[in-house]
Amino acid sequence: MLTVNHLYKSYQAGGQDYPVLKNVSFAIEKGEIVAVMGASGSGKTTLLNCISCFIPFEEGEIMLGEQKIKELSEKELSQVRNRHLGFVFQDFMLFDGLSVFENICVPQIIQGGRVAAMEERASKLCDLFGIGHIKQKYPAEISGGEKQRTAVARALMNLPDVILADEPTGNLDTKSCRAVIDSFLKAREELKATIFMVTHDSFVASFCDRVIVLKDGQIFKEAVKHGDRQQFFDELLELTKAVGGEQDDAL
Amino acid sequence: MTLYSIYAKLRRYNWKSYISLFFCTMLSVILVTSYALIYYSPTVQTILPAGGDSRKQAVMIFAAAVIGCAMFTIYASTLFFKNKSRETGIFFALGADKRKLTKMIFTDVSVTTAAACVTGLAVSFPVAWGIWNLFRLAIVDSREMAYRFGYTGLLLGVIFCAFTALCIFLLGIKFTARTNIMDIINENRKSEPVRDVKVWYGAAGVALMAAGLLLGFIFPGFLIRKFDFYLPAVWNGVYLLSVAGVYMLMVYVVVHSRRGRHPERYYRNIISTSMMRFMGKQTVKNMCVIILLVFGADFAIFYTPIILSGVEENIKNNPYDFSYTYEQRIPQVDRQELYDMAETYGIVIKDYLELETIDLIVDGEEWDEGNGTSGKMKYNYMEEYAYSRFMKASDAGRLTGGRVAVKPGEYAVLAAKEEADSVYADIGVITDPVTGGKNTPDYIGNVIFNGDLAVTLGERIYVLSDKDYEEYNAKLPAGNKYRSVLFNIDHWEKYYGFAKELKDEIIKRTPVDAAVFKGYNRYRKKLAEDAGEVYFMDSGSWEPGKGSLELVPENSQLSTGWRYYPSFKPLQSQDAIKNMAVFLMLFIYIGIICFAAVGIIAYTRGITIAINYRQVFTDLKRLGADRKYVDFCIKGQLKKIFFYPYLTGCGLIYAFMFLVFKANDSMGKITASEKQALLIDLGLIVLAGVYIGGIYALTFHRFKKAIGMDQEI
Repeated sequence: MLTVNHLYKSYQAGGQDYPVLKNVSFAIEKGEIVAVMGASGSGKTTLLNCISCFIPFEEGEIMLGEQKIKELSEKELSQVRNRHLGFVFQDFMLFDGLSVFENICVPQIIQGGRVAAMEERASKLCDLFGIGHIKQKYPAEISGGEKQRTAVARALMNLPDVILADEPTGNLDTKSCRAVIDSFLKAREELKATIFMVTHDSFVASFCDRVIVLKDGQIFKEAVKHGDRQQFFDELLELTKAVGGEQDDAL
Repeated sequence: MTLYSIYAKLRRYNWKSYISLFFCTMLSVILVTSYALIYYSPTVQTILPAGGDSRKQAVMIFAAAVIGCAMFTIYASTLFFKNKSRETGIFFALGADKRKLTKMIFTDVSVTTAAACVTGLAVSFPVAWGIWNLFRLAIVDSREMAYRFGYTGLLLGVIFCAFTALCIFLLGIKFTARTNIMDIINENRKSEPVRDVKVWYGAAGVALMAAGLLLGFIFPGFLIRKFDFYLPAVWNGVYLLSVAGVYMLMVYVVVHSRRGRHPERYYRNIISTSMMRFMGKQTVKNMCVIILLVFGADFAIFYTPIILSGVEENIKNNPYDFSYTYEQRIPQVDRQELYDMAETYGIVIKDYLELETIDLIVDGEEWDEGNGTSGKMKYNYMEEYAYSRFMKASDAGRLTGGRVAVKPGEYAVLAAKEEADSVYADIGVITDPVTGGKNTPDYIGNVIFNGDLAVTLGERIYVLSDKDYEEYNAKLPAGNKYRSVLFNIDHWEKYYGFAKELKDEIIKRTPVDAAVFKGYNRYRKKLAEDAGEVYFMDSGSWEPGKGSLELVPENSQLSTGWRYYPSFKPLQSQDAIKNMAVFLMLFIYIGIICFAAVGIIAYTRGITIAINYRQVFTDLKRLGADRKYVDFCIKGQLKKIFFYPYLTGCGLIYAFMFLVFKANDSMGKITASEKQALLIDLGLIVLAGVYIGGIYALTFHRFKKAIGMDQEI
């Protein structure tokens, strides 16, 4: 579904090159939920931004199915973002001037889909994520958890191949955080969604099938969930400590 | 639902951004175009002498105002794109087609800018007309103040619109050309920090500001005076030192803070200083623009006190209430006619004095600075250079009320007390215009006379012994002879009607060939014509009897330019503003434009800080900060935006004016009228400070509203 091969990305500052991602390679299968963890500055958000086609990268290859995204034109990249990828941001990135329902519809509107089908699908997603009762409300009128569930629904609107989520629970309280995790699980269960998320939260990561741990721009370890979630969570806590994550990452 | 319909909905939601762009662009266009309409109206163009200082000053300050308005519009459009960035970034992230989205953004910007420009241009007409007529109503209504429309002003307005639109368009291209979507999304949150500077940075800024002024204004004059050496035009670039100094000082004001001797003050200021530091670049740029505009505004409004205090000082010092000079060939109002006219007003004429003066050829130097290249001044000494006026010692005695002793072969200079120190022996050879005979008289000193006899004619009068004078006078034709009439009356301030009638009669009796500007010299004219050239004061807007020198009594502009305009205290006292009306209006209007732009820029910057740091203030409140502390943090920032640039701009212009006054006199003396003008300027600075304070108070109020703390905490 999603393959990353020998990815290299650096930033320029003060005439110097600072490598952020060094030879990163992995693959994600359809229906998988994969998280990327690591200490601050380890390159996890940069990795997600490269996969999202938000920022360019120097070397390596990112393949979405059979498509090499580096070879795509700007127009084709837009189409990939719209049809094959779904996005969930830490601070929701909803349009403040549009209602919850309209926000969910935006990816379909951009695609130019049929209105009846679009509205039917948006309503279904609202019901699926428990936000049907607020669909006429505006972002300023709903809670953080509701905003993020709206964002998840929006990300699923075009039935993308992969949902890319950047710290999706970073701004949420425990209850809302759990609601968002449930949304992801539900999306995978009912819509066969593939999810790739960046998180520093071991609790959130413990719900994933696999966790890629980055350290200094390289893959430090890949942890696969074999047993129950609690056991996986403990394993992730140890990993987090090993890569020097912040205190709160381990909590 | 379509992309267009949701985009339209978002537009409605973000209407404030559009209104802000519209309003700022429209205001800039109105200010620039209405000024251009006034300045380039045939009325003003007729009055302002081509190549004159007033015209140069008006254009210079206007250029500063145009730069200020353009920067202000660019700043407003940058804000617009900044506000639009999050929305645009999300659209890009969700896969919107870049071309389609770019088209929608450009359509929005084009419509907003076009609407603002068209509205601005349309409103400029009533604004220009209204301000002009308000001025007529409030200050003066003269024949010259009848407004006539000129297309050049409109054309300039259109050019400014095109320039503004081009700037906005280029900013739009820069905005949409970016490919890093995260950068676009986070644009609104991007800080522009400026790193802290050392403690000497501010002092170095002040030193550079002073160095720029001194090197640019004083040093070239010093070199010319002491070494006859002139600097190339490129030397004016040293003024950039002042610009760099202003920038350094403002950076220092915005970012510098250190624990120092008063740690409690340092910690109390830490919030406001750190907030400003994170938006440092844009804030410093805004503060520099404010300084530029304050400089221009003050320069413009200082014009009035300079003119008026000069007039007042002149009236105070002049021992004669009435004086007028004319060429003897002209049948001007004679003694009997004058007494008859005075009688009809019940006026008793006192101290009546009639004097004669003559034109003789003197030596002098033509000088050449080259074409902007530096080097020694090139002087071309000419034994027969120009006409100068001479009077005899006995007449000088009658004029000053004392005995003036000048022996044959000597000469003295008639000089006002204020300028006496700077008068020097500038005549080497006198040539008889008739016989060509030459004399080399010795300079013996000055004869002090504070009246208008010489000043009105804009040239110096020399005193010869009666014997020498009569020898020249006997052979001279009438065209080289002048007569001056001087007298006093009781309570001159009550007799405006008499003064006006006499002035009108003098004007009526003057032929067109005597309707010449101050400084018109018939010998220079002869030299030019002998060389097959047209004397420059006979051509263009200098042409005798044309334009502002049209010899009709209603032409109030004669007072500022005409060589023989009479010096009557009632007219000087009551017509000073009327005669300078157009100049005053232009300068006052430029002042209004600049101050309006200052107010809006400072207000917008203040509110931008409020919007960007809303969260910080909320956090401060959560941390237990009381209303007093929040107010302190807000004021700490607003003060820097409002008062530091204002005081710096005022300080710079005040120093500049001081240097100008110093340079006006070769001995560096500041005259009483200049001292008075400087005092009035201080008053105007305070007055404008009240306006700035008002905008500050408004911004403070709106700031608190924007961060949601306008209610009691």
